[in-house]
Amino acid sequence: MAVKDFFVRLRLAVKGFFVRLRSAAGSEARKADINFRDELKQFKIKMYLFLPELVLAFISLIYFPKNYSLLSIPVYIAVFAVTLAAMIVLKGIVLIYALDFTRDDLTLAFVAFFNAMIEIGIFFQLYIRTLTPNERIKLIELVILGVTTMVLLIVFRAARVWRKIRKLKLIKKLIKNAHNNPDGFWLAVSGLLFVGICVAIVVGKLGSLRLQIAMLEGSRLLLVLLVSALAVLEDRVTKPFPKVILSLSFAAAGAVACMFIAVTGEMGTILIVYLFTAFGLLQRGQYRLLAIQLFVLAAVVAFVAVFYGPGDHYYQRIFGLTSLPQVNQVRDELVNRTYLFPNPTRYAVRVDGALATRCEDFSFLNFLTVFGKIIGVVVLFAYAILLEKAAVRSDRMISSRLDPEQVFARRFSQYASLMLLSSCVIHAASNTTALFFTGVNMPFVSDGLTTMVINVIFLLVISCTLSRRKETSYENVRKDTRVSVR
Amino acid sequence: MKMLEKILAYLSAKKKSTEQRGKTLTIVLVCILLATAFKSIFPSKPAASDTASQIVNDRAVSSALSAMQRARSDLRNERYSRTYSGEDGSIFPGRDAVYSGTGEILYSEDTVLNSISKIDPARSRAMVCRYLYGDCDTSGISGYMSYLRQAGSAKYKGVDPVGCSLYLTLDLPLEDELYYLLKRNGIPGGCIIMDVETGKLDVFTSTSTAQIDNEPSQLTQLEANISGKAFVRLGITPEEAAEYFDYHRYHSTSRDKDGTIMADNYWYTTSFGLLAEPVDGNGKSVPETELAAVDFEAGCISPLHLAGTIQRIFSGRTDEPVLVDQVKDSGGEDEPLPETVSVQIPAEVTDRIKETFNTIDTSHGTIYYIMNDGSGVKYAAGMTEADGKQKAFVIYSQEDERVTMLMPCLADFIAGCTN
Repeated sequence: MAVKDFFVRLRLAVKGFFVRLRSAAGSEARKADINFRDELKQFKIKMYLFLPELVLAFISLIYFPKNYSLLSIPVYIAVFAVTLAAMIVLKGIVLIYALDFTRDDLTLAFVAFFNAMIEIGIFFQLYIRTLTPNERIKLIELVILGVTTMVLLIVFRAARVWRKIRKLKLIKKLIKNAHNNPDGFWLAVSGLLFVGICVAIVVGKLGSLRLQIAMLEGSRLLLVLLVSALAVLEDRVTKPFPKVILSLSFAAAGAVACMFIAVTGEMGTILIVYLFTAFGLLQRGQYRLLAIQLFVLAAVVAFVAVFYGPGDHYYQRIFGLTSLPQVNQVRDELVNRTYLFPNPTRYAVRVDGALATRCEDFSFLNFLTVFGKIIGVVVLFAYAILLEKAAVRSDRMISSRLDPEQVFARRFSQYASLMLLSSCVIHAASNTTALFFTGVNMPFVSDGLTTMVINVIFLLVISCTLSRRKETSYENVRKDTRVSVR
Repeated sequence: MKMLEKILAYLSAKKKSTEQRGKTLTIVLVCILLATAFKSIFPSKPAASDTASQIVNDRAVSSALSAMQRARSDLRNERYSRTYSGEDGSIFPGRDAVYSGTGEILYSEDTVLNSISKIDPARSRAMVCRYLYGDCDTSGISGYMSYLRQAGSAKYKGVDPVGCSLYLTLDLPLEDELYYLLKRNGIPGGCIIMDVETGKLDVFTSTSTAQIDNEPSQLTQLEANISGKAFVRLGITPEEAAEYFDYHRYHSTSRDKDGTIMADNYWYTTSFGLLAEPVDGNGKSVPETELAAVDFEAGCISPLHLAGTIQRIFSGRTDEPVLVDQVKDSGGEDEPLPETVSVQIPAEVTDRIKETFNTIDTSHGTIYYIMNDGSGVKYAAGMTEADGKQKAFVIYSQEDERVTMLMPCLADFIAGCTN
């Protein structure tokens, strides 16, 4: 049934496309129809959703032939074409099922842009690291992930699945508790999430490096969930003292998370959580707490300056960046590679004679050196502004009329945007050697399956939340109307 | 309690409306992005070091390393400033060509290596020159000493770099003879001959390199693949090996992800650069605190290091191998070569070591030698004294033990050489 439904919808969508195409060239009277013009505008916006694939296909036709042998060029182009085709099909399915993403321009831009970032990440892997056996496996993993997502979307729809899940006894009980005692429910959730973060970090510390990385990524997701749950509690509580404690909870959660992550020694992740907390405090308007946070940072820097010597690792990371060989390598590349414009000639960063070009930690550097500095900077601006807009709008969508679950979703969207933004800023700062930390990725572009899964979760929640923006306004108007009628 | 509540309420107070707070975030974010954009388009200058962070136990080598690092730093800074100013010219004399002692051109920018036949010893010489003195390819300048000898990106601006010419110490006729000695006997390997008195390299050649592992540069003379057991064979103690023969003397360090200081490589000094020798047999870094536990015999040295060791034994000084005889500027005037410092090795040490050599008398002179025809790289190393000339030699092959049978011929070849 679901498959038949899919093909019916596909046929209607294709037919609709050609009808609109013909109508666009139709009579003046038709074009003067305001409803039709609005419909055509929506149609054009939806088609822009596929523009990144066109651009990237064109780019790959220039870049791959410049660097590979005649025999391997078709292979690389074919592999990349399959990737782009999979993304086009995925977006097509989104449009066909009209999963609410199409209602809002910002949401469409969000989905299109960050899907394009995923495609660029794959492009970098193919172009810079080439199709080594390791990369083949990763690409297969990504394709399987994409195909699985598509199948799930076609066969199961979120609303239907959620309705089935709600009928389960345990879930029914949880929902009942949540409605009967929402404060207790959200407090319990917050407590569990906090414990979850601590456990994840400790487990990661005791395990292998891969496990540690996965646990750290997971703990960032749990932190966003935690601060969202605490925000729900904060909005609900009315007694003064608990309200004050809860208003400090965002800063406290960030501080505790930083302290726990410090145990693992991952300075890059600490900085991301620190910046996330700073952005969050800024957006919450808690400037005094932000001042305390900045003071703590200054104190830590002063401590390192006084008690650590120039040969020490921590001292070098703050005051002696040029003593790190990779910093000089990166600066060399930034100085000597294309100044402003794209350069298809493949480059290689060598450390001690060994090839060290990476698609995990140097994604922004790859943008600057492969596509040119202007395009790199423009992409960074677009990246950051989209996330900032998402955070600000999610914040503005909060109102006292919303259910706790709705507030939680919007707060999650807000803080997820800030977490992605923090990651992006620290990554760009590292790649331009304003700071230098490895292990900090650029969300959606950098290599890493665990990171990609978590970022896609963030993307889906943010997109769903933003797409309900107009609906929320409409619901609020309806509620007001009902009130006035009474 | 009320005071605490007041303090906490004061700290956690929220300012401004949602809209104004959103604007504040936007302003701060734009400032951060503008700063990042500036750093992207106008990046900071790189600094000196491009390899491991420091060398410990350095004495004479530190000045060589500092000079190389300064030269590399100056070159980077020069390239950086010229990228933005568009100026031509260089503080470094551009490379003209590399010549033999008798003026034959060995390597220039017009040398197309792949067109040189593999059976021609000129290819071996050209590869050495390219490795040491630089080459241009799509990824930029490569070569161990290229920073000291190239004129930056002037080539790409249509300006031919004209400047210093290097005249090598190599004895081409002797080198050709020894190359073909190996080649025609079907032995893949190499031969190094150094003058005992001056440390100058007369022969620095190798034939097929397919049998030697870990050779990205295909220069077997520079690859550390001879077992440290050679020092045991010579009766040299670990302390003497470090003190007088640069074996496990200088090592470089770096920090790993956890901040632990790791010893990366040992270094052997030559007049044309530092050659890396692995700290452990697998080529992996070892925590510096565990360095002393690494077995003295477990390390490896290059054939050049072994030749240099023999030369030091018989000269009684800690000389370095010398490859460049003269440097002339574009006007043909001599450029001064850097001074090297050598230390006298106590006579009781060298006399004791000399007793470990075997001897063989030939029609042209006596050969003092040690040999390995067992496991590992096969070699014969020693000193030949022929017609008043003392020459240190190493002749080696990865797996062909017949190479040691060629050793008695060396005195005959050396007797015929002009240096």
